[in-house]
Amino acid sequence: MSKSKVSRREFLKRSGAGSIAITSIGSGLAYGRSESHQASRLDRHAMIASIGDTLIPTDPGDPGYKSLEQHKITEEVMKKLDGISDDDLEAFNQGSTEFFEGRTFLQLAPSHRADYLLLIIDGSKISDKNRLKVLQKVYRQTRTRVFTVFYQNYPENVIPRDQAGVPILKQRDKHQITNPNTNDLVTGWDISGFRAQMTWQEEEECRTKFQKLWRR
Amino acid sequence: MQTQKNYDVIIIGSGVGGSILAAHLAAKGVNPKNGEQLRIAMLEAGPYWKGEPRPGYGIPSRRQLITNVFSDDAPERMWPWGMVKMVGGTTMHYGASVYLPYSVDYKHWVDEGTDWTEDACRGAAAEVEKIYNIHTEPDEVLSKGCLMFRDAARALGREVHSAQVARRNCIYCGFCEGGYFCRYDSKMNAMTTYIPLAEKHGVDIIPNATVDRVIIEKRGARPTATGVAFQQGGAMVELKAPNIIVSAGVIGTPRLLFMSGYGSKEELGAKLIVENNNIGKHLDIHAAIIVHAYFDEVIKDGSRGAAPAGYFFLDDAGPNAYGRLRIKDSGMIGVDEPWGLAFSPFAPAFGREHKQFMKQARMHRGGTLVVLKKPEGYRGYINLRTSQMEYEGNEIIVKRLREGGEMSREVLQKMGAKKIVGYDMPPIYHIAHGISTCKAGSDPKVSVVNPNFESHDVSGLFICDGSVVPRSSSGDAVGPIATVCVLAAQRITANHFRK
Repeated sequence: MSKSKVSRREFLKRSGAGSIAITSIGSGLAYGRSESHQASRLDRHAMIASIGDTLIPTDPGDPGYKSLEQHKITEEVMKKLDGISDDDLEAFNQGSTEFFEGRTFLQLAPSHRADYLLLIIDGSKISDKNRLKVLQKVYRQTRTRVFTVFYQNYPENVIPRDQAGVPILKQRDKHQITNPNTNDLVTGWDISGFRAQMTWQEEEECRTKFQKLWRR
Repeated sequence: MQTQKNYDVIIIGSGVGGSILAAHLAAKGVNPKNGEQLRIAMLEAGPYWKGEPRPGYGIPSRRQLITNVFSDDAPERMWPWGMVKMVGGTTMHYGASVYLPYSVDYKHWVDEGTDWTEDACRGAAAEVEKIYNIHTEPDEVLSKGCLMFRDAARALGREVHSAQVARRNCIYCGFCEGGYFCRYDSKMNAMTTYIPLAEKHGVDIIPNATVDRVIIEKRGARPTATGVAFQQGGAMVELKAPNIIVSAGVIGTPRLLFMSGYGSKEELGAKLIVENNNIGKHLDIHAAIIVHAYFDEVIKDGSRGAAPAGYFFLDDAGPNAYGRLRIKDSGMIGVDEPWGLAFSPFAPAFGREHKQFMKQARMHRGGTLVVLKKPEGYRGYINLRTSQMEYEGNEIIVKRLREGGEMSREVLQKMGAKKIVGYDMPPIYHIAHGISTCKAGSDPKVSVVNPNFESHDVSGLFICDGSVVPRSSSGDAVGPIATVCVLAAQRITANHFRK
């Protein structure tokens, strides 16, 4: 009998792995051959950054993962990717050569990088099951970490705290509003419309609106 | 070891049970020898975020501590579900979903060997209803999705009920569920209800005090509880009192008694002081699954709302709430956190489609929560060394959860869901709301305390929390626990603290 138990927090937030139908993979044109990422000296940062950019693309007027590189999002993502070794990433980088005319993942055009991920998700075209396992591990763990960091509002996710862990208030924060999101930057919360903590003005509006129900 | 002043009563734990006992005993109990007010200490392992509650607003000091921002939750402020160590206990981060005991619960309690009849508990239940401000929310603060669930379930012949919540002056920020604290003091918990009363009546609340053991001495033929030993600020402290009330919760209470040498000979070996084979046993919990649905139309705001209000229906597999399922709308109201939404079964795996999904999904995603109270005859236990709840799955649980999943699918389909996921999945289920690990009963062979909450085996020792409640059919535990603890306070006061 299987027994599967998850924490309440995890359970409430959990909704299973995403899925998407595999699409046909064209041979396409070469892209980025000038990027001289050598297999023997893998740039771990470049790999994670490229996967992140593929997972949450950036377009003109539509910021995404790459827009936050100036705020070192890849460094943040890499902080908790210990489960992926350099060898794993190397296998991931080289794995595309079989399907994309000898080009590594880092050498692929963005659209082909997406095709490569779809191919890994589908798995049917990769006959070596051990290799497939590694490729899928890299994809899944990086995806989980990238989505988690991005949609937890990096880099506007941190509330400064004192040594006792008590949030340090902003000077203008007269009512202990500690929502760290700003209008200066488009983050995961902005994209998904998540509003987090109310402002004092929003609170007051709600109090006015719902006060009639308070006498219960 | 330091020794501090003596008390008449020491209460261990300040959650739903401890807070009720402290407030009642301090207000109504007296030392029977001299008629003076009881000297009561309430020990809590965690901090005390002190302050008179101001429902609807909150107070500056607590507002500053409660950020409601998941990504920056400081590790020292995070506790596993049901294991909160701070004044207020688990009520600080529960979902404010509170159901008073059903008639069948009283029947179960009597069947288990107590005299906790509906008549006996009526006053206690009424008090909990009032103090916790238990009510249903009007439709005007619910989402379109909640109302669609109600109408679809009714159209399928279900008797639909309004969900009950314990809140006061709520401004519907949407953060009730998911383990968040309430910065507005609107969630009715121990901190906003009984703890201020206890303090007003002179109870010494001693925070950051981790109790190592109840001191049990063998005086003559019968062991007696004489005090507690606890750690505070790196020092070991001993407090003496002739009456010890353990209210450390469904896990903490049996664990503490075990650490005190009170338990089974088999597990304690040479450390055994008092034998009782029921400590940590008889765990009653619920199992649950979530069924996810995606709608073409906008069904909610996705950022704010009256969670966990809404609607539900019940389905029993037999008489006396046997195999009871509670199927409630879920995810139809309140915040939909993007870091969870990104992994929704409806989300494209990545890329522009995924990003587009993230821009609108919070307004289109909903589902149901299927809660199964354990089928009769199946019980778990607490691993007293690891403090883990252990509960084996079985084919009846799987069958009933799948039946609940199918009932959910029917309703969601009737609502017009475009996609439905999870109703037929292998049961990855969640367990929560444990009770009954030191259960009450008249027979010492199958219980730990008598119906008056006195230990069968140790004089001066009382247990008053979820661990004594033999069973609950509602799926949530605070209502039955609070009701039983008010009854406990009434009985302990009447039997031990009257002049």
